[in-house]
Amino acid sequence: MKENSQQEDRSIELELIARIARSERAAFEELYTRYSNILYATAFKFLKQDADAQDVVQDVFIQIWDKAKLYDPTKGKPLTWVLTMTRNRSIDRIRAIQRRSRLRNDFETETTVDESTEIREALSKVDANEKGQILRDAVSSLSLQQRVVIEMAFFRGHTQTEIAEKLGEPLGTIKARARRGLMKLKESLDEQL
Amino acid sequence: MTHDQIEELASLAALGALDGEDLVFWEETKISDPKAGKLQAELNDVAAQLSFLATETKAPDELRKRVMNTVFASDHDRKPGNTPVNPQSHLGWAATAAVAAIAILALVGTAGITADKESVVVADARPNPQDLHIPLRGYGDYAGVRAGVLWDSGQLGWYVQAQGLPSLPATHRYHVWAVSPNNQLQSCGELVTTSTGTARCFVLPANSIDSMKGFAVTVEPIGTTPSQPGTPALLISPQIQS
Repeated sequence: MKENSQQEDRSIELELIARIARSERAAFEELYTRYSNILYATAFKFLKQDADAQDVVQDVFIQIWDKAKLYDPTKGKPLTWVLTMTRNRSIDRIRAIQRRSRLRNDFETETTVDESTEIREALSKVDANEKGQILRDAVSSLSLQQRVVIEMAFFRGHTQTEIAEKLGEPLGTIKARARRGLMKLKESLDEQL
Repeated sequence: MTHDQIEELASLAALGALDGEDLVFWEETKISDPKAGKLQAELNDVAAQLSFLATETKAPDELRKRVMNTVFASDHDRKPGNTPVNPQSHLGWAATAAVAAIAILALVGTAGITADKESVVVADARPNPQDLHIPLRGYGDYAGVRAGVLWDSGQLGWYVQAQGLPSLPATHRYHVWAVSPNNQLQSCGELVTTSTGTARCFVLPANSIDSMKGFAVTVEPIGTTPSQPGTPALLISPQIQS
């Protein structure tokens, strides 16, 4: 049942992207309705500022409109495409702000205090949304070390080399934790979603 | 390459954490092994789910109007140069493309906003979005050479790569240059050929490169520091969009 619903959602979203590629405004507006909340929430989680989050979401929707014809379904679902854009734009914006305001050192210090803050806070919430709860359960099943690596990469935008340096661990260890963590998440989500 | 190594690189790529040689190696692996690309696509979907850990928040109502007004502004307003530019957004596109997928990019800088390297404008110059390489304007023996530019969002620099370059006599080497908008060439160092036949050079957007429209490769005598380049053998990314 869930699988059917997901496939239906994906079909609808693929159709919307195809229509946007043909410059259909109604499709774009429908996609905005479907995606704007999760994109804004994602950008806000990174940036913590309403104005910055709005700027990022606006940029992403402009890209959706301009680049819909370039969307390649073999590289991920439509939602993956737009969420990846949102995440990367948010991280770029953080880095740019840090350079300009010379706050990089402050941020670096902050990120080493407790690398699992973002995920830990997220896990402490009770989610009325079943999908969110399943995700939280899946993430909870990871070891703390795996969660830290995933958080530093996904929510902080660090590269594997930066993570290894910050944690004082060999690069191979970081790679192994990322692999085990994400593969375990995949297994859990494949079963339940 | 073992299955575990493929899973490691695919996982890190999906998390946007691959950098350095691993990033280049992974992009090459995906070209030669379709299963690698498929695995990364699956893991991209998994990683994207992490966004749902964000607290559910409703996008502000005014944002919808703002987005619609911007997207559906007149063509004139949205043409490059007429749209108000958020300098960070350009690099954002670069990072998005590099992290999300195979990204072979061409570069074009815009005068006036190049003091901050975040504002370097990056345009996808592939004539066909499905292509993995930008066709080169090759000459003679260079016509079969394949090359591209890969943006490394982690290191904020470019890998200039080429395959199939003819062997050079021991007295000469390949050299990479950034091509400025007025076709002046700025040195970016040697294009070192690896044992696998791939030639590669990492270029940081140092202060000397304020803007560029692509990269050139020349043949230079070993032991010299070329201040005046020889005749460019290859020009990467001749089909630049702005």
